[in-house]
Amino acid sequence: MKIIITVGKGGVGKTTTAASLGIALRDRGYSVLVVSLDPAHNLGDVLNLKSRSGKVKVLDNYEIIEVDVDEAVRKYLDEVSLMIKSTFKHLSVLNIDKYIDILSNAPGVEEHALMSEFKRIIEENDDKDFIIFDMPPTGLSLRILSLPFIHKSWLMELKNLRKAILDRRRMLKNIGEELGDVPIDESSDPVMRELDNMLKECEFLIGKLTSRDTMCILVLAPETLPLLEAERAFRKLSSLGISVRGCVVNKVLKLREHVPELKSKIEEQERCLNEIKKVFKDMTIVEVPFLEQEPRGVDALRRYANYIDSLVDLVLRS
Amino acid sequence: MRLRDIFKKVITGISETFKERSAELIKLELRELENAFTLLIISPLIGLPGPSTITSLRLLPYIERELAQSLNISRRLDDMLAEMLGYLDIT
Ligand SMILES: Nc1ncnc2c1ncn2[C@@H]1O[C@H](COP(=O)(O)OP(=O)(O)OP(=O)(O)O)[C@@H](O)[C@H]1O
Ligand SMILES: [Mg+2]
Repeated sequence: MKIIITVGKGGVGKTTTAASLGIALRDRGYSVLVVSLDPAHNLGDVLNLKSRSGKVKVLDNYEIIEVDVDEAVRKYLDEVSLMIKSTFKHLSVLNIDKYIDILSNAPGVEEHALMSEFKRIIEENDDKDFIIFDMPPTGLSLRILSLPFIHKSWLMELKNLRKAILDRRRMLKNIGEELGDVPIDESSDPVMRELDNMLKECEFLIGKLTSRDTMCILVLAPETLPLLEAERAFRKLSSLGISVRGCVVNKVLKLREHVPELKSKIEEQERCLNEIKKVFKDMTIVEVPFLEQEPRGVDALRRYANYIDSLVDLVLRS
Repeated sequence: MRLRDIFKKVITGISETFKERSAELIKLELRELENAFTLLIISPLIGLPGPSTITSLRLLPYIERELAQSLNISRRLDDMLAEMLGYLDIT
């Protein structure tokens, strides 16, 4: 199973690219799942779908899921509260459900919930040849994708600290100090066990994200701001060890006639295109013209796919 | 009493005091480490940078004792300096 992730600034065409790449791969005989992790979904819209809850089969071997983010947050917090309840049995008078609503707005919870959906979806769809994740705009995407890495370094710190605590406890026990009923070994310490569980989850995700079978595709318009953002995303993802191998330059203006009003716009685009070719010289770069009609629906997305043909090859090759 | 016995007594005396003193120090160190650990766990819940709300929630149930201890200490923070100096025998 291979994982493809589309990343880029809002409105540049991530969803269109994800959906279209999916159709191209499916047309070549692979089974494909396209997943939208964007809280403001438009995958269903891009495919002109009416019903859009759960997994929707659009074509044979081509399914999509729009992850309900609020639902994911709720489900995630339910799991956590269950865990807490089972350990805090004596606190059953304390109605933790009451706090769940507040928690759903706590910083970082949305990213956590989305990452946990990411994990669940790749585990449950192991039979697919490709899973394509359509991500939210860059900022949130990067926060979601870097979460397991940040989380891991915190967990390692906490583990070291916990080890030091257990060491001291053992020392004291060895010289005959009475410590009461506290865990002194890593194997009997529930905190260590929980830390290890979380660490395992992180490592699974890091393994998946940095695997050879996973790649990010940058989507950008040939304009200064999207380019700057794409560069930042590229640097960040590379520093995490997530490979970024393809780049879609979308909405390139190609005019048949000379339009004076658009002259400076076209010049900016040309300048940016040259810059993109320099900055991302090791990537497969494809250009998609600004289309007269919005590429929506399966047929239009097939036409869009013609422009990203070498990207399809790249995905199949690697 | 033979000289050797006196010597022996002195040595045992010293090592006993040493043991007590070092036990006290390790205890102090242990408590500081436990405090640091607890603080890190509750930070995200009180708006300080820390691992994450979720990590905190998952660990919280297991650090009840440490949490109580930290709260206790923070309540009598003023005595802390005196206590430390006491441990180090600086008066
Ligand atoms: N090459 C193109 N020519 C014309 N319109 C396009 C082109 N590519 C995408 N669009 C249109 O631009 C809009 C934004 O595209 P899309 O939804 O794929 O972007 P996005 O990056 O997913 O946006 P968001 O960040 O909001 O999720 C859509 O209406 C889409 O139909
Ligand atoms: Mg989108």
